[in-house]
Amino acid sequence: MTMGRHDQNVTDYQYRDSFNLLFNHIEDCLFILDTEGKIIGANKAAIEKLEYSREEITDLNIELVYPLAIRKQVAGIVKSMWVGDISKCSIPLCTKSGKLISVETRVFKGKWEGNDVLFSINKGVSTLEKTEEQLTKALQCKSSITALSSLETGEYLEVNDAFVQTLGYQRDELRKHVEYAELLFRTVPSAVLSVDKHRKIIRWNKIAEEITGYTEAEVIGKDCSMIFHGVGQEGCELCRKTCDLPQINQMCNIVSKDGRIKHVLKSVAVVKDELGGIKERMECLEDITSLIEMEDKLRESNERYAAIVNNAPQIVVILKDGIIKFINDAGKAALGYEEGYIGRHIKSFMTDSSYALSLQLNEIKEERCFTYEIELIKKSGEIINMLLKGTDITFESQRSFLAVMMDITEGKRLNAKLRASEDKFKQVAETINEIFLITNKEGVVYVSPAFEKITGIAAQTLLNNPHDLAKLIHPLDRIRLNTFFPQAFLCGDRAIDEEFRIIRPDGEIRWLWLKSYPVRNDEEDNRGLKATSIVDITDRKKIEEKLLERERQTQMELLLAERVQRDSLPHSFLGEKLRVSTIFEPYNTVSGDFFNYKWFEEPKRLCGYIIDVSGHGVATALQTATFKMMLDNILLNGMEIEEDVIQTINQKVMDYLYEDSFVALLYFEFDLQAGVLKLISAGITLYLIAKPEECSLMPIFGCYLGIVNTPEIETKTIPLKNGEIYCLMSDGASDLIELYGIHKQESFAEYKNWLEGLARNPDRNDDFSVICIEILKEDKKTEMIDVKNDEDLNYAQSIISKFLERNAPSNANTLEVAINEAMNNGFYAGGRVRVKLRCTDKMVIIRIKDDGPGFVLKGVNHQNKDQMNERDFEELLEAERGRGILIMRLFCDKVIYNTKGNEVLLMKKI
Amino acid sequence: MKHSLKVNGSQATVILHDKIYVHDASLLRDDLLGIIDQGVNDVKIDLSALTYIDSSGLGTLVTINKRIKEKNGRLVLTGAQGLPYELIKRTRLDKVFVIQ
Repeated sequence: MTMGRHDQNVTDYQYRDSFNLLFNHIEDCLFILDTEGKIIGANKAAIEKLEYSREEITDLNIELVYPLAIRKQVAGIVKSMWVGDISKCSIPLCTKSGKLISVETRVFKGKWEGNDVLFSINKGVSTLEKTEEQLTKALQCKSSITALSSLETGEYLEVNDAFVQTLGYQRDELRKHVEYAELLFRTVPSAVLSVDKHRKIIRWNKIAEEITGYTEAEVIGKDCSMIFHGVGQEGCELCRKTCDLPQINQMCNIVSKDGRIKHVLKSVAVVKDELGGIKERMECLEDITSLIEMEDKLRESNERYAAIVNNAPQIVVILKDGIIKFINDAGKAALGYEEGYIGRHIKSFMTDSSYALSLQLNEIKEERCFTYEIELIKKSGEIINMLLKGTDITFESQRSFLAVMMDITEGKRLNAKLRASEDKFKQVAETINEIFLITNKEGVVYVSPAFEKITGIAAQTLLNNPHDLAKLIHPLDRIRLNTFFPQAFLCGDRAIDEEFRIIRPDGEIRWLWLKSYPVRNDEEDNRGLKATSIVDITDRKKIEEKLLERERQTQMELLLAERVQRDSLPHSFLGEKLRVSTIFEPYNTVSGDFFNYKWFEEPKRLCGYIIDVSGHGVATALQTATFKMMLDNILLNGMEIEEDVIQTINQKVMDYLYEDSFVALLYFEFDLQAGVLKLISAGITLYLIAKPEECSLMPIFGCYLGIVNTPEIETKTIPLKNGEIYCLMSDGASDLIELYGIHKQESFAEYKNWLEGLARNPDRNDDFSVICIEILKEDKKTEMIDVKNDEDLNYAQSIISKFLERNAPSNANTLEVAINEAMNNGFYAGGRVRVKLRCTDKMVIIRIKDDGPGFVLKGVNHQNKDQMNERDFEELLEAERGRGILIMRLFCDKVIYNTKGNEVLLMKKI
Repeated sequence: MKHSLKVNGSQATVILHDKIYVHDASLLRDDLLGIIDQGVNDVKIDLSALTYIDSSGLGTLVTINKRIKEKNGRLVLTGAQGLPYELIKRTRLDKVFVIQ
């Protein structure tokens, strides 16, 4: 079903009629405003209360129904209402006759006859009206109570009309007071609330809403402590205390709706009834949270400031006209007084010159903040240097001077020291004949004046081009230095220490010693500073060359001396009865030892001596040479030698020797006819006797020569036996034998080898000389050996060895190998071999025949020695056998096999 | 016995004394081949106290050297002097042995 046009018009009419009826019967003042703020509709209550006719009020600007003084403000509010910023306000309306009507206005936007309009509802909230109503009721009932304010005390007391009159208040005045109170309630910038005697909230203004976050609707009728503290009254001490007493500006904390703690100043006015009972409490809260927080921050800041100032290493002083108003702990510690700073003039702590300076600066200072150095006097009288930074400040509301001072005494002392050091460096650098260079990555920063004098080129040339120094380097040194020069000496981390020659522009060659090292300071130094010193060492080099030349000459002379000394030694001796072999090893090139001997064919006697002069240098060697002449004349002249001869020698030695020198001597006399050995000892204390069954070091006593006029001398006579070996030695040899022990040897040659081994010992620290003498056995020139088994073979090896040592000592080793090769071949080929050894004056001849089948000679006999070359052995390098015949041929002059190959003849010239 | 032998794991040190004749060479040969078969392949022979050696001794050293090489090992001769050194040089065996 659809509604027809006629039906629609009827319905609209009915609606409008009903609206008008409702509109005009509402007691609140209602307005309909167009977008221009004109009243296009007002209800009956508005027309009557504002005392306008309908015609007068229609199209009247809404501002005109408000008091003249606030119409402009109203116009702004209306505009804000149109844009929705404001929906309510509490501005009193003004009647045509100028009376004010307190209203609470609420607006909402809507449509009226198709146009945008504001509906304004102005609810009458005049306290005056309420009060009038109350007063009327009170007059009707005398026992009832009406309200009266006593604003001066902060208390409200409800009294009857008679009391009103008694107090002199007229009803109009009362109305005005109440009206004023209402206005205050609405407009004061503090939170205002009222609670009844049960502490239920009955009033709640906008500021209270802003502070707490609770709206009036949320709190009315609720316990104020619950709202403010989240607990009942018991939760707030202040609330408990102020139950029946007014309070002014009491600090209190409340909890806002969002849970934040807010600090407030609370003032309470208590309204009592005529019986003195509390009827209402009006509370006024002022939010001081921000203030409290700021105070906290300020306090923290002050504490921080105090801590900083008092703990600062610098001295902080505040002065007012030079009088100390404040000084921190550092200042007290620096000056050394415990108390008594405050109130004293700063000049009592300053030197006169510093005070005068501070006064001058004070007069001329333009900037608020300035810095200068002053001297303070400590309690001990010591003067300390301070760097003062000062500025004007306000201290305790007075213009004052803040001085912050840093102790620079140590810094100044170090600076002075550094300056002195730099001055000294410069003085040294510029006066001594040595080049100092300071370089960095870019080039030469400083070069001392000596550069020009030494190199012959101007210092400025080097400053312009640091590589000019490299150009001067001698071609022979340039190749060696090319790897690092010239860059490396200028910069880089490498320290350089080089000597090289330069060719000066005038052609002179000079030797320079360059030392370059990086300069480091405390900071990370990227400047690559290097310090270089260049010393002219030409003179030193010339002296070094001379010294080297002299050293070469000395060495050559020393070697010549060694040769002379060795040449003056006796040769090995081989006689029918004995043989002599010697070892002479100086500790340094020439020896302090010396020996000599002489064979006297008749009466078959070997006489000789060995001496050991203390020390082992050239001077000692010269002394030995002197003694040799003397001793040869005395000891080796064939005369019988006794102790008295040695005493005579001692007397002469005393003349030759220096005070701290002495001589050890052993004279020996092998008398083979008598079969005895006579030893006369003066300082040499040990000699070795090797017998077939034993070998031992024998002691002999005697005092050194050259120490006392008549030294104790020992003479020893020992019977000689064939086969015995005697080793007479200096203490350089006997000490080592004692150290490493005696090792019995099998033959004369082995003893000599053993002793030579000792002479090579690295522990040796003295001249080493030994005379080895063997008393030969019967002169056996021929040996026949029949070898049938391994035992015979061992025996044969021993016989061959001794035969060769006796008869061909100089070829004994190699001939022994050759003979054994032949013997071994024959023994293993035939199982039996006969060896015949024979020695003539000039030759050793060995014949070896075996029982074996022989072998195919393949021209062995015809191969001469020249043909036996390295190739033969190299063909056998990896062979385990087959070298025997080659070795025979290597060490013998002739190797001849018989045709069968089971007999060989070896011949060797001696 | 003209030789002393000290074995430590795969290493052995041999000191030759005095004179090594044909019989001594045979004993040396047997001992060294024995330890090589047991795993020794790093042998050092000290000749500093040796005063005599002939072709039988040299042959033994050649045999030992070959056997050690077969085991990827090494024979080193040290301290050679006097006749033994001369003989090694003149027989060209200094080309075969490692001599220190």
